[in-house]
Amino acid sequence: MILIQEVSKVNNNRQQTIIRISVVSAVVTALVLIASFAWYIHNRVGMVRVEAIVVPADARVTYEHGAIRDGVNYIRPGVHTVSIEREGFDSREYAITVTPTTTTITPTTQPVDDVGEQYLRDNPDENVRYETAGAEQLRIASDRLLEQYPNIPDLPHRHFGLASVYRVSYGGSNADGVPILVIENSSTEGRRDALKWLANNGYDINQIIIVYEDYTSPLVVDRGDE
Amino acid sequence: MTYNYRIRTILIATGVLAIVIIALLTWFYITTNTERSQQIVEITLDGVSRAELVDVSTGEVTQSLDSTGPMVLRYTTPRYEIRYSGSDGFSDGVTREFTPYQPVTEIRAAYDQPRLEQLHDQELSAIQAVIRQYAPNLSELYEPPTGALYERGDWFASILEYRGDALTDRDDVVIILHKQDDQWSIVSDPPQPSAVIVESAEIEVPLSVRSSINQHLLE
Repeated sequence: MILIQEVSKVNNNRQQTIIRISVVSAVVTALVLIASFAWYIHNRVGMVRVEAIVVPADARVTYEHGAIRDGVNYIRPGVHTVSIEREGFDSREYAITVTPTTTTITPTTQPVDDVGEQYLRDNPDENVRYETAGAEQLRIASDRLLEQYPNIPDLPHRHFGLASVYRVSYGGSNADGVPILVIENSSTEGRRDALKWLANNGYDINQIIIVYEDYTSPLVVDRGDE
Repeated sequence: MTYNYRIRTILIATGVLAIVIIALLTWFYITTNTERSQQIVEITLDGVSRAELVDVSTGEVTQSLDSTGPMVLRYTTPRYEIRYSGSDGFSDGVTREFTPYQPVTEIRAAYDQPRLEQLHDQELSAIQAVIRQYAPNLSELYEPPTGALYERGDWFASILEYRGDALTDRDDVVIILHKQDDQWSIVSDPPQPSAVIVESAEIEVPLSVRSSINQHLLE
């Protein structure tokens, strides 16, 4: 009888220990889950998922809120100052704009001495990455331009009238992404009509760069001692 | 109350507590991050009595400002503009459209029309002298420039009407001058058939000047 009671007591103790361990495990698991969830939210909510193509891949890239690594990053929208540095490469700082639609950024830098040149010779894959980053920069610039000026793909526009002739073509864009439109093969009346055509076809003639390719000013300019 | 019952209660309480904490954390982080996803910009008002931040897509005024101070730009609003009333002697106006990513930070109201006209009368002879010196044959080819002053009387623009007898390049052109350190100088060099952005220029012609003069050309 005593033996049975002892065995029962030992079983009860073991059961209580197991339950105690289970409770502690549950609480610890809950705390770990809470901490992980908090960390996940802290790094994701209000952030934009941005793929960074860093060239060279092991360059150190930072911005106001921390490091940017090659690959996926979560960055707060806004204008940020990014700096990139690596031994043998040009250290530079520049501004990037991250919007909710930004998918890629391309922090790149070029070699400035023999160390950098040698690194590129030893790592030919980096040249492929330069090309990828370049193509991506071009795509980003092109998307931005088309978003602001959706009519640009319709150029060139030619006009052959009795009263006027002109041709409007796209001549690229400047460093700020402002498009350059070239008015060419034009007469005096043609240039006037080209300006009206642009204004009537969705172009803000005050905020694009217009080049009058074949207009020569008849003014004789006195430039003094220049 | 049995031991097992107590344990079950503790487990349920832990679960409920975990859910409550997660909910609170979610709320806290979402609200703080919403605040972080806006930008507070210090706007300097110069010659402006009152400014209103307008959401361009809805036309809704999102904030007003009576003096230099902060404006809150939300990243969820794609485009803003600021409409403003000029102080005494300054004109009302509206800024160009801008985004929270490239915000306007200074509003410098232009002088009002009577003040600009008064200055124009005072400055015209000096301006015409600079133009004559710049291109001695200008008076043979174009009507004399009269034009108008813009901004704070420091910009002058005029459409030069062609009156020469050439068969080509007979365009009316736009001449623009800027006054700096009390000296007028030609900015549109050479004058072009419209007010254009000149990439190589040291100073950019203000948008207000370009749009006003180009509007005349399109009429």
